[in-house]
Amino acid sequence: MNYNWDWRVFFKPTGIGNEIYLDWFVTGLGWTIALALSAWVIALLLGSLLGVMRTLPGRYAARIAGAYVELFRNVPLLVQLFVWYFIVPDWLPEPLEDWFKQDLHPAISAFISVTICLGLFTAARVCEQVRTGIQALPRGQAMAAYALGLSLPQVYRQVLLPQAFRIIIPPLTSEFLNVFKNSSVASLIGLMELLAQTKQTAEFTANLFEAFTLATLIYFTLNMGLMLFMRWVEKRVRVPGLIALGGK
Amino acid sequence: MKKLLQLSLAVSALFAAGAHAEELSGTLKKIKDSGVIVVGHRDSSIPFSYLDNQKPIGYSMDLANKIVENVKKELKLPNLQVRYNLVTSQTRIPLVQNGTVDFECGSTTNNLERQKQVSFSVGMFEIGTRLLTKKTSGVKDFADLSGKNVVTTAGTTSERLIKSMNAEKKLDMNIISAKDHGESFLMLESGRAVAFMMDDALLAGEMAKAKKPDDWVIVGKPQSYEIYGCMLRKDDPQFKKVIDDALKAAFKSAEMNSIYKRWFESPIPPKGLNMKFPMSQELKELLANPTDKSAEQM
Amino acid sequence: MIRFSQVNKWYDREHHVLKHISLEVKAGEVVVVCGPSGSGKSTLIRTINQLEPVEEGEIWIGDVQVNNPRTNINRVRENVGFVFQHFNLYPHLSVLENITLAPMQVKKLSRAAAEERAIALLIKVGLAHKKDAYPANLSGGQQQRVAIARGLAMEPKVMLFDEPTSALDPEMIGEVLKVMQDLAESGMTMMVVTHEMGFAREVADRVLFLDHGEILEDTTPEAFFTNPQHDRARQFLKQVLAPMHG
Repeated sequence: MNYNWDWRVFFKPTGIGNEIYLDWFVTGLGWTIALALSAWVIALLLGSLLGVMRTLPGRYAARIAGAYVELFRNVPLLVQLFVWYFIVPDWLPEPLEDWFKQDLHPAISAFISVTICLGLFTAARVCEQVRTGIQALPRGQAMAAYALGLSLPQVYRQVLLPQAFRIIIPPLTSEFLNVFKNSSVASLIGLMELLAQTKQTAEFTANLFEAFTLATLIYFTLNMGLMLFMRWVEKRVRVPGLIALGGK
Repeated sequence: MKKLLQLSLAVSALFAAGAHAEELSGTLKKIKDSGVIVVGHRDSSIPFSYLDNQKPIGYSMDLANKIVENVKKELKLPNLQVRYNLVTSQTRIPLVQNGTVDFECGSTTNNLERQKQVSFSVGMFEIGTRLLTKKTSGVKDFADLSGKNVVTTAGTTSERLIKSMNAEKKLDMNIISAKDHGESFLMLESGRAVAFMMDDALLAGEMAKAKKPDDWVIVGKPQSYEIYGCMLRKDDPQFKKVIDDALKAAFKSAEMNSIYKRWFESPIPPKGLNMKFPMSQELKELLANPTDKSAEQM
Repeated sequence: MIRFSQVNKWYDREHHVLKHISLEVKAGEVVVVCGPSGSGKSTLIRTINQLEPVEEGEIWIGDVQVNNPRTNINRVRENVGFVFQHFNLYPHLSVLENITLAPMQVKKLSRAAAEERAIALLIKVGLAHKKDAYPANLSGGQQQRVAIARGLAMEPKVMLFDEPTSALDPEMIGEVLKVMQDLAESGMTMMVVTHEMGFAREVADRVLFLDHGEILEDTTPEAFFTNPQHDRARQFLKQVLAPMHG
């Protein structure tokens, strides 16, 4: 294959302002991180709430959470993004709609849409992990807590969730990494995150392989860093003998 | 002994035959050896190269067929098998380079960056980059866009042009880069942007698709001209000549006007939309004086 | 202190696990509940703090009817300690935290007060030196003693034990029974489901014998061991006492 490699391309001027192509990657990485972290906060909070709901004794809460999971897990992420970006804003009252579409900087309105979309999508997945974690605990744990007079919220907060979260750190880690990867859907509504910047560089320079190689390296490094961070978290909260209990 | 003589005669006869025609090399040799030619096409570059009932059609595909005919003639392979391979704006260059497709005819702009990676045929279309806007928007030219939201399609020359214009002239525009032309138009239609900057021919296509085509208008002085060409591998003069010859012959023929009319001034599949986009002065000149230079080189 | 009146319970509406149970446990009394497995004895003891609901009848602790929907069951449970066969300590909390959790959460005791009480209880069960250990690092016997201390930390009026030594290695049974005996001698009202007939003979004031969800015997240990009234009780005694002599 007669491809012309040129790694200096990242230091060439883009012709837009005084930027070089490398600057685009830095900007893109910034958006990617901001998006993924904001979406993860939503996913973790909402997902935990839903996960708890799925294990509650009452029927209604479990059903509502179950329906949520079915809906958000089975509709493709891209379709959801389309809905959040193109359809939901039209439901807003007129002044708010105009503000969202025209006055707000397009990058910000896109950011809000993707964050909500990705947060709610990932919440469904977090929910299932939290539910699995809670259900993996021996029944005696909740019973012992109820027997001491703890209320339902206390049982969850003090006994079930601290153990469940420790058990599900590995699958949660992979959801956390997925948020970073999935944040690339933002490129489809014009938010210039890492993938969008990569595509743009590839198109402008025709040095497609260099651009995608760099992007691969950045995603890889980012994932490695996050994985190490999560391992560190896992180690810090590890309690002797807890994991072995999960299966009982 | 007699056998050996016969063999040597046969061998020399073979050499003589080979020396007669020009030695085949590059893509033409590959096509001859395999008996297949692979044409790269797009799926939604209306009306240049797009799918209708799984079949690639369009202005560029009509010209691609002229090229295939010429290859058949040159190689004396009337039954040459033709295979169509879908490419996207991201895959088209590498797929040409690595031999997956032998040449690509779609809506690919010939520019200097791409010339480092691939070779271009003589230009077959010329566009100007302009603006699509609502008739009632009050936007007449690029200067009116100051402080407004403007959409363009990601990865296009228009994107680069408008971003650098914004930086240089401090127009304070908010530029949205949509993933494809359809989405760009959706941004325009849904009120997220007041104008859509793109190749005028493509704007005409989007306008034709609109619910009310009469609501929209193409305005503004072209910020650049761009020449579309077919892409092939670099350093393959034999194949390039066959392609260029086919295109030049087509440009000269009377059929060229009907090809143009068929795609730009008549209802086209799948929905019978009419682009109503008469041939520009620039294109007329390009067809009269074929060149494989990019617009920036002229 | 504890009163059952015509209590009936079914599993899945078919399996009648508790049949017409009526009984009374007085304050300071120690009652051992025994019977073959599947006889309903664990279910019986769990209905007292409503870990198992009942379909019919009334269960009272003092002047509170525990199976009345208007009763705040959490307030009842505060006063009823429960010790499980499998200890059910919280593995993510240290020994001290296991004991202080409920007093701090439920009784809103300050950490200092809760820890003071916890350490006093740990001294009582002989495990003060393990206060910072985690359950997984304790032997079964030690875990069960911590579980008893955890129950006592709520200063209950009643302590319920559900086969507290069944999951233990034989050499650890003694240390747990010793703690229970001390507790009995301090005047605690206790109901104990167990197969430890030695404990029943020496510590219990009464023995209940359950079979197929019915109370067949309700008598003193003396009478139960020397003169059981039912065939099934005699058979049961033969089985549980045999290994002790062999």
